[in-house]
Amino acid sequence: MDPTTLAIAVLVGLLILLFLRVPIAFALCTVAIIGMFLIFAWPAGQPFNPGRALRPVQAFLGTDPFSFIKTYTFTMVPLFIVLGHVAHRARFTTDLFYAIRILLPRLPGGLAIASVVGCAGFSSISGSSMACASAMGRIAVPEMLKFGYSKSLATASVAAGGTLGSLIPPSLVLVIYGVFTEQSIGKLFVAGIIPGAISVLAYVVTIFLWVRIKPNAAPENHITSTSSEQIKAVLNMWPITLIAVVVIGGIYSGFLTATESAAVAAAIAIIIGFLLKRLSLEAFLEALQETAYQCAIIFVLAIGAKLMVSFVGITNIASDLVIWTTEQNFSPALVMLMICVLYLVLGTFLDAIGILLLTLPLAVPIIESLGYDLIWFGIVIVKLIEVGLVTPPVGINVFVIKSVVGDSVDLNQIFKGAAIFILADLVVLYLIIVFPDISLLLPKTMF
Amino acid sequence: AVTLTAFAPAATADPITIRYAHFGANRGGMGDNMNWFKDQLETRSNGDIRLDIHWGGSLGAPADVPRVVGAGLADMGTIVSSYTPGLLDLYEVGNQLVGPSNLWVAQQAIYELATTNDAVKQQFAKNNLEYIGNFNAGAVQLICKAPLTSLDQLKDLKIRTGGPYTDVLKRMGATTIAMPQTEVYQALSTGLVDCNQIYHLAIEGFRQYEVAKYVVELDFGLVMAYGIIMNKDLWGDLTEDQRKLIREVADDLNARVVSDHLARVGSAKAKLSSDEKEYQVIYSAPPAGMLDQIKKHGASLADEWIESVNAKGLPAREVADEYQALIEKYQADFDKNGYPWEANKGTN
Amino acid sequence: MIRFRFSGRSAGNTPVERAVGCVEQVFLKFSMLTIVILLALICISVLGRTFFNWPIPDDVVLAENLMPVIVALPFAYATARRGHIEVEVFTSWLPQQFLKPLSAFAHLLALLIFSAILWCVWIGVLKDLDSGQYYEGELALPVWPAKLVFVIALALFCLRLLMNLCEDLGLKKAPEIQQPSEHLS
Ligand code: NA
Ligand code: NA
Repeated sequence: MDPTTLAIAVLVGLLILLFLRVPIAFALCTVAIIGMFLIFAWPAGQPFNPGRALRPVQAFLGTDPFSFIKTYTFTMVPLFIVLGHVAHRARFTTDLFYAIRILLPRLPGGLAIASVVGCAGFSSISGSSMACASAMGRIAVPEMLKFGYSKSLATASVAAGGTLGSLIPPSLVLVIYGVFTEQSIGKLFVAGIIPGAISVLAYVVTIFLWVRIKPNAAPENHITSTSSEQIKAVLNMWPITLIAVVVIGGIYSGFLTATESAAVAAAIAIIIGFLLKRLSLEAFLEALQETAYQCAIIFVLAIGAKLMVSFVGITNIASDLVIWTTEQNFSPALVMLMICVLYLVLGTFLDAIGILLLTLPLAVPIIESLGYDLIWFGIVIVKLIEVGLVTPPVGINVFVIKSVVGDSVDLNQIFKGAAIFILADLVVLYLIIVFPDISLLLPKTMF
Repeated sequence: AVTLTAFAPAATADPITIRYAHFGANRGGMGDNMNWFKDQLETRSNGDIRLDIHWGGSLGAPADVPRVVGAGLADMGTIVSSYTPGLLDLYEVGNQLVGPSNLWVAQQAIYELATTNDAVKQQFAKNNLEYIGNFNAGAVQLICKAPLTSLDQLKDLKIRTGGPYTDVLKRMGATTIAMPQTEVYQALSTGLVDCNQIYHLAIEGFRQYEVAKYVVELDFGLVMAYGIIMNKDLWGDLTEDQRKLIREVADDLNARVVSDHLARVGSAKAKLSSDEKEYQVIYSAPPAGMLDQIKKHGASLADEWIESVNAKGLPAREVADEYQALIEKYQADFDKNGYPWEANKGTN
Repeated sequence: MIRFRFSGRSAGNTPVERAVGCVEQVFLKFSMLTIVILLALICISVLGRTFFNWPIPDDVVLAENLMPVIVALPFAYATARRGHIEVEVFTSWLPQQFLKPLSAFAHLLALLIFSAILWCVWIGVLKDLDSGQYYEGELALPVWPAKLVFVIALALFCLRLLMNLCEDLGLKKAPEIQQPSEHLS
């Protein structure tokens, strides 16, 4: 069987399994393993011979899932999830959202906007979108649901906001891109700042318009308050402010790495929670239990996504597509457009970092030869693959939010809401591509 | 009589495509080395052997490459033994903190050791691997945020280390920190670490010169257990001609990787030490007595290591002795003849 | 919102089910404990490094090796609660009796797949034990223990998948604890 046919068959198989309500994690694992098996048992132009596939597939299953979950940067994920649960149970986040309601009573969709801004703040301490979505999902979604926000808006705004994790520095994806392309990681980080800010703005406008068109999505806020109540509300936010100051300060002054910040933030939240007697031992244990549960759900899924990336990798289909694109004698602009479409398509079913590993070795020389700036392309690529985090059928951020909300919100409600934010993303992408200075203005001031 | 053709493996007659697992990017010195190896195999075999390189560890994490290649998930791969210590102990003799500073000498010595020493070959074979060729990353250097002028400074420094240098620098009083190389840029820029153990070329690749301007040229500590492995069954299935061709390319790879490395280090140093605002890196020798201390602690660590491998029932002592003998042989050759590529330049 | 009661015991109709439920609880608690250990490990290392010039040796390797304990041990627990995320939109209109066979199919697939993974990782454990492979670092930590934890977690996971399969096929009754979550807001 030739690899392209096989890859298409595997994708179709994936969709059929999802249609049959096979949990996404199981469906991904199944088709990736069958695909891997067929690559070896039935190579192009040779007869079917299952025996030949046993040892390679055995090595694949014996190494890939384990090495994947044992990645150092993933230690951020359980730690940020604990932080989210503890901050929620100790009511630090309630204080935060109360203050926002009191300070900005007239703002339509104020809590959703606050959540997106909160995601942006969280992104500046977390290098991973998955960690960002999992913590903010726990912090923000319940608050919005509590005040009658539509499920779609409440979940999708955080799923979309979570994608800021890789655009706003620090960013694991940009580090990998920088190492692969030998571009300055410092410059890449700085280049992400304005596009990150524009993305936040775009999400805020999206929420604003959403609520304008469908006022039911975010019930009006009838709270009135005196100025002393407002001051009190602001002062009550001190625990979460302290955590943010220590962590952001710790990273930028050199006491903490981005990965370590997750542990320190969670530790501070737990300690303050206990000291203020707002976190009981039972609540703390519940937070741990939910974290363990959520990690299990997320990582079974992530293993499936990783196996899928490995399968697509061995078929060479991603790199073949990149090569095909460049062999068509298209104009540079058209090649760029094709590459964008390619990344969006790959993003529908592959995980972000997997896409980078599979495509960069071929895409980058092409982009370079066309005369494009690699720092700029890095930002474009991050934005492209972050969109993939919220597109069906494999949208990791959406799954992360789903793992927080459980049965109370349908998966496709989250995907539907996210689709609206994707429109905003496409506008931002267009701006970033057409006006490279949006990304390059700040790095140009360095050195 | 038995007809041999009936048992001949199908792969021998047809052109073969070798699936190669490489952890790194298709750029820089290692990317060029990999592409050189691919081009040489393909042109010298007139296309009978094709190399399909999977970059970026997409066929397996660096630590999984021996198993992945041994099982045939990949046919060939780049092995970095420091990711799998204990798996190929005898080959790891090339990573001990003893031995030469001359890259060309070390390259030839480890290559000859791994292609001829039965015990070393057996350990590869036990993992269903055939040793093919060798790479190298050059010698270990330190990059620091401030000049390192005396040994006394070490006790106040936080240094990001890996491999035997962790123990050695700790014994010399420094605080050592483990951290993935990808996180070091930020750690140096914030001052979380003061120095980082690194190779000349990686300074450029990871752009650490942007955040630390002082390179202390230790030029000591070669990581030689870093090479090309192949699935042993596939190796056995190749024709005699194909095996010979691969060996020839691997032979020539030795000179290629060393001469290219030296050239790259030369131009990287010239570039990074230039006056351009972005660079202005200052290269300096280590403070007095530092190398002696490193060599002293390194030698005792190597002894401890040999003991521990011997305890596993492996002839580590003999292999280490043979490696030393090979080093001496090639050092003598080098002292007499210099680098072959420079000699060629003279006579042509 | 899913909200868990922090209850130690789980119900079941047969001794086997009760035993599996019990082991699931124990594994879950190990995972929870390990989250705290991970948190403490990193914080102590940061404090030690910052104030005493003494980070915990091999903290990165240790942290990595805690990950399988944290994420894999609760696989079975999460599966017992049927927590894996599905795409419901195509099938949500189907009556209940059609959903059972679909669920059985999914659990059968998962059982096959994860037993295969279990077996292959176990072979890896044997190989690592045989070679004595370890992680580079001061502690020279062996590779096999974390992998063995992964194998054990997968074993319980597979057992739970089998039990869910039996339930879907009507071979055994679902125990009461299948609905532990109460919905908030
Ligand atoms: Na970030
Ligand atoms: Na997607």
